[in-house]
Amino acid sequence: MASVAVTHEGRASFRRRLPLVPLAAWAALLVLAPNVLMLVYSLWRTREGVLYRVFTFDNYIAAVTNDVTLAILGRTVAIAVGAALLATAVAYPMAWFVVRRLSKHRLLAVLLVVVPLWISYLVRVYAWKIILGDNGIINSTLIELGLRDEPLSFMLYSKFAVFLTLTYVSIPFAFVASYAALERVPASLLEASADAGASPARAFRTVVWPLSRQGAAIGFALALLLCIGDYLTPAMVGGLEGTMFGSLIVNQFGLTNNWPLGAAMSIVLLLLTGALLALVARFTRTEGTLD
Amino acid sequence: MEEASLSPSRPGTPGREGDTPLEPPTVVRFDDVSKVYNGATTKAVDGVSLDIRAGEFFSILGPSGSGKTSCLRMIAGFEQPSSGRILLDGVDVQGIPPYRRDVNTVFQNYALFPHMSIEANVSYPLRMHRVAKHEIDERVSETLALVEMEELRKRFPHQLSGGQRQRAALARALVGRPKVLLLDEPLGALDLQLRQQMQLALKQLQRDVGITFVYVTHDQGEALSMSDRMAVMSTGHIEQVGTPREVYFHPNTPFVAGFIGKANLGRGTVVLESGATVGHWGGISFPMAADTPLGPCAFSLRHESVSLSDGAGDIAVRGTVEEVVFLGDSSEVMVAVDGVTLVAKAPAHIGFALSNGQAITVSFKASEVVRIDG
Repeated sequence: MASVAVTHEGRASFRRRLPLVPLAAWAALLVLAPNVLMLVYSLWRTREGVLYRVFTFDNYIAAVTNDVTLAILGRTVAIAVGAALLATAVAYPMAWFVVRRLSKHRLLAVLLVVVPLWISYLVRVYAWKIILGDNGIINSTLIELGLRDEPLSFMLYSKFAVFLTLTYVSIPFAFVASYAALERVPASLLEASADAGASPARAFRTVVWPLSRQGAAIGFALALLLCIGDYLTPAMVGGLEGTMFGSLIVNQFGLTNNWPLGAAMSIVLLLLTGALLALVARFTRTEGTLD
Repeated sequence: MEEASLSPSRPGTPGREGDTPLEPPTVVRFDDVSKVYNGATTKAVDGVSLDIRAGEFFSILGPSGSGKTSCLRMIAGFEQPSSGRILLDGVDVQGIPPYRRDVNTVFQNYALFPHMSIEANVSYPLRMHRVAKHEIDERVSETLALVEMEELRKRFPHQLSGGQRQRAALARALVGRPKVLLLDEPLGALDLQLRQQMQLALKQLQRDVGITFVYVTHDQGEALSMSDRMAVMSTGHIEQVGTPREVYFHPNTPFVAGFIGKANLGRGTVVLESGATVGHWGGISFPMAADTPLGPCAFSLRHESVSLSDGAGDIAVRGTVEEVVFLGDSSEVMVAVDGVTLVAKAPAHIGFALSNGQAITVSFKASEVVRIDG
């Protein structure tokens, strides 16, 4: 009897879990497999473009001991963190304004911020070439007005250009995440806070920020992920000075044809990003829930 | 006449010292306050003048949309009057933001901060006012004890029941010892039994702390049982201000008579007949006080003032039973009498014994018929 019951129960629980199978397969295929493959590649040896299936840590050692690679990694983290921070710093107050001050045109405002996402990434980056270039909008205006004799050269093909462009493409993501979080903060909590004697600034610090910083962190994380691995933007507006870690990785899989080194560098970037995000999550945690 | 009954102290005299020694000073004064919301065509609050005295439990009673919550929100400072003035402790508070007003609110949905423990919620107003740490601890414990929430001080709002959240919200509003405590239908979300417990607890609490309570509700039972005085509002204006007893037994307007309790309402006239003042309501006649104004008017007679036996009142009339409605603890018996349908409240078992069309005698005391203008 008992064994029958167990079998029944086992069958029932198997049935309950059945719908999860395609989900798990999907995740395994799309997320797990590529990463495992990359991990395996990063541990193989290569010599003069030929792959040997021999275990080695050499690729990792090469990835983290090369001065140029490390300098570019440092620059990449600086630019990506900076751009993601600036994007969040711009998007969060924007979202607060939309949530608190707009009622009728709220959706329109959200749409306006998000609309650039409908346009190809390449086109959006290209637009900055037109704005920042030697014959671009800014430089030609400056020269037209007689404020300068020659175009400002730091604007295009520079770290600055990469930073600016990445900030721009990150803003919609940071905005949407911040908006979703801020919209969930009930107006009655703000009234309760004012009622208890909190000035608007203190109400923000003690109520609004703690209840929405997780959203801001998600926005920051999205922006960081977008920026830290990017190679298109550096390729188009970065020039030599604006080279980022993603560009180096792309090279390993293309021109240099050193897949194991490329894989090892990818894993290094992955771990670093993971660590950064863990740090962000650690500092934006809030106890208690909005129901 | 009506103006005088609304504001016990004369308009223009300062509320603090101008009153007679027996009457406590005015803490909240509405001076012809109106409120029109942006985009609205009608006034949410329409020419309200009102004095709320120190230490009293004052209720604002009205159906939804009557403007009672708007009145409360204007005292708190969440809304600004479109015209008229609101004085707190004799000072015009126009333009003073909520965080600089010495009033606290218990919100309808409690509005506890979800990311703070109960302790942190209750200490919040003190922290915002930069009260010293040791004093904060002391006052938080004291206030939590007052609402019997000491054991739950480390919990978060989502770990509490509705009644507990309500008490926590009350503690947060009381901890700063405000001059006036504003309560916006605070018992609305609780079930009946808890609501009745909390009514008693609230009234007791108000007596203990001696703070002026302004209590907004649509529940006449709450207003009648807890208030020292109450205002009845309808469509933005005040219908009547008075003690629960005055409002219940001497409604000033047909609205009040109909809204509070259950009353027979009808039109009639008061005439002078061979030296006596007599009221005519349909075919029923009854004597009225000699100083009753003559002419057409409305009459109100509470259901419980109508008795189904002929000896209970001085006026007895014959009629026929139209319908009996069973209400559980009692019955409503509708009796057609000479062109008037009188509803009597009777014990349930008496209601069961009656059948439609049956002839019956009902009686009432002439003194319980209220003459209303209009």
